[in-house]
Amino acid sequence: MEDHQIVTLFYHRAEKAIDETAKKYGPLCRRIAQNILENEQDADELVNDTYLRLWNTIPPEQPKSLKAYAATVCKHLALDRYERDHAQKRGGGQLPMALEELAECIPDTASDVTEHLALRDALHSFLDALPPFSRVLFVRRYWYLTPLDALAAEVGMREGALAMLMLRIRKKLKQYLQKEGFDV
Amino acid sequence: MTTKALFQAIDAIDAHYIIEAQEEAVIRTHRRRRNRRTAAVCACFAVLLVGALTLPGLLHPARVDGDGQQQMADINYGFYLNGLDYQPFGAGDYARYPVLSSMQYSIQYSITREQRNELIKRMAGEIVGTVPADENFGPGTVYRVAAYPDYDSIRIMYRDGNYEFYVSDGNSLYHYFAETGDRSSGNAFAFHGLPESILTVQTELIDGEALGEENTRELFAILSDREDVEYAVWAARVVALWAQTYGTDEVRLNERGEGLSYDATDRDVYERLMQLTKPQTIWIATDRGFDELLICYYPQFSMFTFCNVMYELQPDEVTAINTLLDLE
Repeated sequence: MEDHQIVTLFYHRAEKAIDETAKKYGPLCRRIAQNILENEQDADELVNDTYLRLWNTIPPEQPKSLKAYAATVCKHLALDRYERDHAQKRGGGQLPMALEELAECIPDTASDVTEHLALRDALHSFLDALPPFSRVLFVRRYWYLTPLDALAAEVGMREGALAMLMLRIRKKLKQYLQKEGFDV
Repeated sequence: MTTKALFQAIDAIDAHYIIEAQEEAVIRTHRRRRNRRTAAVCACFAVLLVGALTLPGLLHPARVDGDGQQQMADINYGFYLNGLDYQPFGAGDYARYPVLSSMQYSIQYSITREQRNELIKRMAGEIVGTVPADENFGPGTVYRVAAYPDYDSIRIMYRDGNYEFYVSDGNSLYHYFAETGDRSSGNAFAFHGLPESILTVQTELIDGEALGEENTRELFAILSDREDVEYAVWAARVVALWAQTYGTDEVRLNERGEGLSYDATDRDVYERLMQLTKPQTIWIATDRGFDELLICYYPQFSMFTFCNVMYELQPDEVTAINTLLDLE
């Protein structure tokens, strides 16, 4: 079923909307939740929370891409739960590892976060300049938080080769951010 | 800037990057180019060994990508058959079909080509078609996958001495439109084999009664042979009906005159608009293995949509359809 058809079901408050969303995007949401949280039970609960959030927000939301909307909602719910559960400690899930890798691009020095939109726009330019394959790798690793070994299997590469490629992409990002005047 | 700030900025990237990252086509293209590059290198060594041909004569014209890497010219490794575009399996495709997942390990554990051919050959079902030869490849024979007899989305092809899995991302109605130059409703129905391929037609969103066979044929007779119209036609009729119903311009055409403009934060306007534009949904299940098809019928606008294409109806046709669907 097309996304707009499922969104129409949400508009008309038909419960079939949830069934169709689960059929089409359930596996994607589960993967995102599992990448961030520690165990499968939490991930399953979170996916159900995602469906509830979609039900409560569509309408009035009119997502052009239900896929992106569901993935974003799921990821934010997962990150909220992760921060709640790990307020006092680190460990578990892909989030700490991804943050460590990104810290190579910039030192984790204390600074005011005042450049969010500018940084996002710069990221868009950086992503646009990447070859499609590298761009997909970057987003799958740092947006979807896909583990490196799983990502290597998905794209048919050896893990070591993928790690080298990701390192080169991160170096490019660092150079780009420096060139754009960001404090790195 | 902190690491967290960078992470939050990545989190806020536009939706199209998030969607693109899930598209296997990019991965498949990269794998084809990498394999072609590898094959070209092997061929070069073979040339050096036999000393028969020059290097430039072997390599396809190269392009330079953003990384400064030379890439080979694109070769279409896929094929088009019975309305579907098929491309070679990517790494992620094996996971979607559990019976085939074991084949993925054959890549990693390096069984011989002959062993792989034998394994895949055993999984082939009935022949469903042939693919003609082109400048790069010989003719191919296409089989169903025996373990998934009802799935049109996967196939096995035997070509140039090798068996391989192929996958389609979905029906290619738009490819069919482009090929035939005909976006009429009749052509769209023909692509899906309607009405002959119909199993059931239902007019309620939740467990409604099925439309009888005779009424189904009559319905499709009315809906066929419609030429597609632009979305702007629908938008104009929505605006006109809103003005007629509520006497306000809270819903109007946008600046380009091709869509609607209204205050999306006004819940009342939004709910009234949704009610005004609510379609009568017609669900169609077919024997073609596709998902359920959907016709959104808008009697209030004398229009209907099928597969995201919009069509107009005449007033007497609307009356006839309403009778068939038992609508007031």
